[in-house]
Amino acid sequence: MSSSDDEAKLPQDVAVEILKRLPARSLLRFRCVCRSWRSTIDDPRFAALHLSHSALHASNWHLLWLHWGGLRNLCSLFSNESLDMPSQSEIGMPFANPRNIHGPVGSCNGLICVKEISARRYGQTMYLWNLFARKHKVVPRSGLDSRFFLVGFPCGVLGIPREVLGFGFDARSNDYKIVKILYLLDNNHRCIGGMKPWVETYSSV
Amino acid sequence: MSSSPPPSSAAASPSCPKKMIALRSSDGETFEIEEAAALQSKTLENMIDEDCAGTPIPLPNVTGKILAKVVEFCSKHAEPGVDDESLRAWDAEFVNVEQATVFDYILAANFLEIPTLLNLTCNVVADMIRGKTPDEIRKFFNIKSIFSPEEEEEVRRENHWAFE
Repeated sequence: MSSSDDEAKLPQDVAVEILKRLPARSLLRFRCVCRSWRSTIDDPRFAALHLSHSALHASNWHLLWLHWGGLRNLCSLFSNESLDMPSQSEIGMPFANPRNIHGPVGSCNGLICVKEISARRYGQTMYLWNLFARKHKVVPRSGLDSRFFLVGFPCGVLGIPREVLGFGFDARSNDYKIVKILYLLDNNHRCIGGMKPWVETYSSV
Repeated sequence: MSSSPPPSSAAASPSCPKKMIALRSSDGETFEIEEAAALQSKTLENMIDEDCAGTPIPLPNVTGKILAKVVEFCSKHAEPGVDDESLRAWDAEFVNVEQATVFDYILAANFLEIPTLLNLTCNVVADMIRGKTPDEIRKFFNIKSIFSPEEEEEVRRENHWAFE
């Protein structure tokens, strides 16, 4: 495609301008074009550039719907334009057990945080999922859940443990974080007075 | 190049009465462009600020054939009163050319720092290449890969699903 007889050189900044407009699947394929493209695509600064470019276009915004009936490791993806069920609607969550229910914790910049829902309403396994790059990670457990569970009983206070989770991006540390707040409810489902909630933050770094 | 009077917003300072800017391509052709149109290019904007003498600005990276089209693009985008839809249609026609020419537009837009032209042409090329194989990409951009066959195989394996 060179326009002159000499070999057309693609300047690096032009390559970036073109690459940032491509979907994740194409980019992951083009990692093997050459070393320079691989290091560009793998560079976290390029990921940030790609994100800020795609966030500008409504067609890149999606709604994810996790299934609770039937096979529970499936979810559906809807585009921004319509909530009509697309023909290829079901996507498998690669980390998930089809018998377990999974619920969303949150999503941020295209990363999705999902937790397994069980009868015990705290301390469930969580996952971070990059849907379009098809990569996922189990969030390591902290010892907080087991420590928290023991607190209620030795004190002689019977409480119902509950947890609240949040997922987001912390610009200051340039990292994604999950915040977990654990608290105890009394038999009337009110927060037990005088008991401070336990708070923990998970970071990937 | 345009026969209509320059927009009144392009006020000339007393020492630079001319509102037309002269450009010289790499192959020696000279083109005239209205200042308002020239200001679409950040590169030209910087050069215009520095030089009021009116000598043609040399652009060694752009041939006459491409520069003519770039001037046409900038002039169109500097025209007042054009609605978005007509401009989009005009843009679509503008890039309805051979691949090699679109690529030349990209290089010119990059060198001259014309965001609108760069955006338009990069979108076109991104659409052209998104479904291609790595081999087709190398041919398209004339890229030599120095991956060994084993290295390339490993990179492919890391995201094998993307090749299906």
